[in-house]
Amino acid sequence: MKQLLAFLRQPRNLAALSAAMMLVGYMVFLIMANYTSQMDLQRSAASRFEGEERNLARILSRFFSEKEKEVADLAGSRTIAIYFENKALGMTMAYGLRASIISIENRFKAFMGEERLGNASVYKGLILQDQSGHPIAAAGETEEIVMILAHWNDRPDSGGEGPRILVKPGDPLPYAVIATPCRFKGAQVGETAALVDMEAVRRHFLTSEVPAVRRRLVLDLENAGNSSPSEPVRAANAVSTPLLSYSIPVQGTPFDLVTRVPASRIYGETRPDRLLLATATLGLLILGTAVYFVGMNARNRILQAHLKEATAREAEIEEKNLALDRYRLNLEQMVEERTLELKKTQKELLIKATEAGRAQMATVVLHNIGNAVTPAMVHVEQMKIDGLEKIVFYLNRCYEDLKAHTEDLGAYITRDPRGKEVAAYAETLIRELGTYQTDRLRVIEEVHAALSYVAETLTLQQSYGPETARITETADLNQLVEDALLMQAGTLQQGNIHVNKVPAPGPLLVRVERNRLMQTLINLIRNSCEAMDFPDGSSPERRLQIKTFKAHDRVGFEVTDTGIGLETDSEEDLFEFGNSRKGFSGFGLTYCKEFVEANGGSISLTSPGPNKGATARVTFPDPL
Amino acid sequence: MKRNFPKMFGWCCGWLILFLGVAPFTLAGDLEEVKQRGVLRHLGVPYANFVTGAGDGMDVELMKRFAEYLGVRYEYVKTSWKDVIGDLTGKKVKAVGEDIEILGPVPVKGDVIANGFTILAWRQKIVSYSTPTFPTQIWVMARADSTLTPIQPTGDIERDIAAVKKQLKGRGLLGVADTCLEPSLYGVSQAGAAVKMFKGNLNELVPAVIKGDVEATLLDVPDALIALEKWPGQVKVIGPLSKEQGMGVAFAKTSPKLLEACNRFLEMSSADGFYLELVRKYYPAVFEYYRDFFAGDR
Repeated sequence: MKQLLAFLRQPRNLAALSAAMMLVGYMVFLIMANYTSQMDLQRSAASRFEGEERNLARILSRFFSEKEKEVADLAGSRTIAIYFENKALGMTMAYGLRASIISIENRFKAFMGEERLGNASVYKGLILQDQSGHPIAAAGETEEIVMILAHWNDRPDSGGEGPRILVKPGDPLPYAVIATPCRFKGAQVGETAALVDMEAVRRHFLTSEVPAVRRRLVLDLENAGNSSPSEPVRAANAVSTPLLSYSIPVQGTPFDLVTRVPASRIYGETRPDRLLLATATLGLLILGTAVYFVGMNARNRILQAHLKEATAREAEIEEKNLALDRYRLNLEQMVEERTLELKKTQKELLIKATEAGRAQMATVVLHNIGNAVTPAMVHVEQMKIDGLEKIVFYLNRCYEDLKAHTEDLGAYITRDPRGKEVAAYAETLIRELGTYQTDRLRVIEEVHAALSYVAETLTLQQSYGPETARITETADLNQLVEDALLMQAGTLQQGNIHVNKVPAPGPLLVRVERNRLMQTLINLIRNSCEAMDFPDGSSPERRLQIKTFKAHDRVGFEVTDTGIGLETDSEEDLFEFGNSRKGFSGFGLTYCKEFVEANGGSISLTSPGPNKGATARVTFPDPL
Repeated sequence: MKRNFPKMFGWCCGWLILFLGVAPFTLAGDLEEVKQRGVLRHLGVPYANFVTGAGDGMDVELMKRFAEYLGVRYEYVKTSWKDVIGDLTGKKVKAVGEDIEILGPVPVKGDVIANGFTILAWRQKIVSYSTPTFPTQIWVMARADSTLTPIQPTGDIERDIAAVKKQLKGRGLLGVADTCLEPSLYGVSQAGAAVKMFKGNLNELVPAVIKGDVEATLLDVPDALIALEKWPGQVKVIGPLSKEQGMGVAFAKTSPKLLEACNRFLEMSSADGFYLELVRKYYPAVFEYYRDFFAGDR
């Protein structure tokens, strides 16, 4: 208690408590006002619904009244009157009277077609019968009419001056009959009756848009058969009733309009007292929640601070992500530029390598020419220092000696000892001269052979020269192999390499750039030759096999060596520019691959393993 | 019979000479000629709902469609009951009992007669009929206040006819010469009726009776049904004077192919429901009276 007083002494707390009390009071006021309004609304809704049903009963009353008038008009129509007139004249069915009946029936059919409720016809059948109940003319369904008329005409109070609505008791009411007397010259001569389709009436008037509202017409037995005045609404309602029922007489008919409707459709789903309870509960919940939220306020602030911090961090991360994106874009651009530079460098290297290849090829040519020229020079030098001058000198001396003894030349040769030696020496010199001639002829032959080889090499080299490059032509692969081996003869001989040729039979035609294929062959042969120079200086058997073949629409050749072989996983790498088994530029195989694939061929390099040799296989499409 | 033979022979010879003399320019057109001419000439006399005189009528619509069927233009040629046969055949004739007497040549004006043209024995001697298109019967119709009383049907048509004739003695009765209402066809004079030949339009017969010019008139069923509708309570049907008859489309004897074409056309119109629609339109009540006649069409 003391604590409470202490709490209230604080002006701020007192003000807050006062405000809370006022709030609670205002809430109670609102709840009570809402309860009172709900009760008023319910009474108003019930009253309005009842008014609507009464209005519907009036509409039905007017509808049946109109139908009675229509049937009465039909019964008094000229069409029906003509029949009775002709009958009164004595006309018979066989001769003329039937025409009147046909007219009546046509009129009935037209009448049924004219009177409609929506898409449905109001009348299902019509009948005209005479006073004794015999049918004269009929249209549509007449069995029900006859039955209902018979039922009511048997009653003592049946009959009447005007139209009547007749219904056979039962529920539901499928049909009702509107019967009206026919008169001719003031006397009743028959009755016209129309069968009303009550189902059509129900569909048109009684069907509610709200499925829960059920309406039907029931027969008011006290008024059945005559159009007596109505009774008041008989059923009432109560707030606590789950199902409300209204029974309203339809004026001028034997029907009551009975409507059943769930109370919730009128009063709402919730009763006012329950709504009061719910609203009060809601008020308490709101108060409790308010208290709770005050407590939550501090925590909310902390959470908001955290949220703010998280937002800032998120923004920072976002900024960094943007920077990363920018960096990535720059990186991609740089990679692209570097790639372009690399491609440019590769192209330059390729050009340089091509030039180096050409220089290498020129070196090979010069080497081959040198190989041929050197022995020729030796022979020429030998020819310079040969003994021909000495022989000539000694022959001149012999000639001078013999000239001096011209006078006694015979005795000098035959008897003088010096003369005998001169003769013998001259013979020796003549034989030496013969030998010299033989040697000179041999040297000339060798020089000739060397010069021929040089000429042949030059001719061969010229045939693969640049002026014929890039021209596709048909060449014999066997011949190309022969030429390549001939061009590499010096290298092969120098390397002490035994060559084994396995040519395919006949000419093996291939359509390629001839000089580049030659370069490819030479590159592969040289590659094999180099592969057989083992790093440890060992010198196993050095064999090179070149095989040409034709199989499955392909022609090609294989160059197999007994060299250092390949690692099984490095076969493809060797075709890449810069890869070499021997430390060279690595252009040779790259060149080969580029050329072969450019000409629709394929190239592969296989090996059983290190130090087990390797095979280069090249194939091209068979041009035939 | 022997006594009449020279007279009959003379008529036939005269008719033959007349025919041979005027045939080239008086024959009604057969099918080829109608097609060549491009027009079907419909001879019609305003009568009941067959030819109303207002440009329509059951037979008018039927012939319009027949012309369409033939692929020619339709042309209505107005005529009279007195001249209708001459306008078709080129020969003016007169009924003599069930025979005819040829009175002389007349110009041909049409190719077909269709206006509720009852099939009668004497007419069949000068024209050819299509298959019957409509049922009929001859009734006696009297003013409502007449003392003539409608007979009670006995179920026997001969007895009904006799009962009617029995009442006609000394009574004024209207008829129309050269039509199905020709009193001599039904022996009413022999029954003692005071026959009076009507000169006007057939549609004016009933008004003449109502007006009091004469007590009763002969009338065919289609016209009687119209009269009962038009003047209800003012006239009454006394009873029959003939058995059931038929109406048909009439052609000249020289137009057999046109007749054949018409029969085919009627068959088609019956099959596709066109003819039945016409009957419903112009004579709805006749279905009830002659159920058997229209049973096939239904």
